[in-house]
Amino acid sequence: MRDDPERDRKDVRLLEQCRQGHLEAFGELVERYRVRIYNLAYRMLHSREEAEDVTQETFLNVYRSLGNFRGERLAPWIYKIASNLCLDHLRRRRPSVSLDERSGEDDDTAREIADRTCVPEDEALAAALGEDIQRAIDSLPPKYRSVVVLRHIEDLPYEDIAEVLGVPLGTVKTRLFRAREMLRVRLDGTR
Amino acid sequence: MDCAEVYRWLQAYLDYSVTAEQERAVEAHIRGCPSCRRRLLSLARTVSALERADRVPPRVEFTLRLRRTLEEEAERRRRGG
Repeated sequence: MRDDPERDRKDVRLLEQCRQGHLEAFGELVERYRVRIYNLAYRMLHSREEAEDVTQETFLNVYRSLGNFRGERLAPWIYKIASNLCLDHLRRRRPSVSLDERSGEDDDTAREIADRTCVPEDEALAAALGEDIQRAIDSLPPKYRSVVVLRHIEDLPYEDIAEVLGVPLGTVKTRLFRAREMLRVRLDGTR
Repeated sequence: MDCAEVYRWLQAYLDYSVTAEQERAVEAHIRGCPSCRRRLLSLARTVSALERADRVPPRVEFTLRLRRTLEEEAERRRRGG
């Protein structure tokens, strides 16, 4: 989901209509984000049931908070609600904090990171990797998991990820750097 | 550039987020260093695999349930509940 001013303008129009009580506008808004939010939750939680719960809870929260929303862009706000709910689910699942989570990170040099996807790969192999990738994502501590999913599955720009997670841009880059390295070692097994 | 320095720049290089000068330095290093070259290719494969992961479609029953729940919520609010 790259920067898309047209999408943002349409979101704002829908938001206004929702505030005026047009239920069909809210329905349209849900349609625009339903699959994305479900996928964010599914990739974060690796459970259809939990992803469904989070998706439903997200839109109920959005609906109840429409009147208080003062931001200009809906996307980061909706992702923030969903991502916090996912992290709550993970917290409830995991009573102990992993070593990875306790490690410091903010002193790291921030690295400018965008994306590059031009590595040719056999389609069948990629399909077969789907489950491996999900398991690799599952192995990440939650804060690394969310940054990877928001960046590489949901295609959010860094600035939006920083807003969604409520952390500085440098922290997003550092987490992404570490997360990709962990995934690389896990998926490829080379150091 | 030595391997430690290349390691720091590898991810940025992968994302085209290095200066032209750094890019040349990284490329010069990996041409002569199989170990850094392997690491770069391995990172590129990881990112590529992530980004090619298919979207998972929500179940139809769930989508119907979601609509119903939201309509019920709207109805509750309309009644001032």
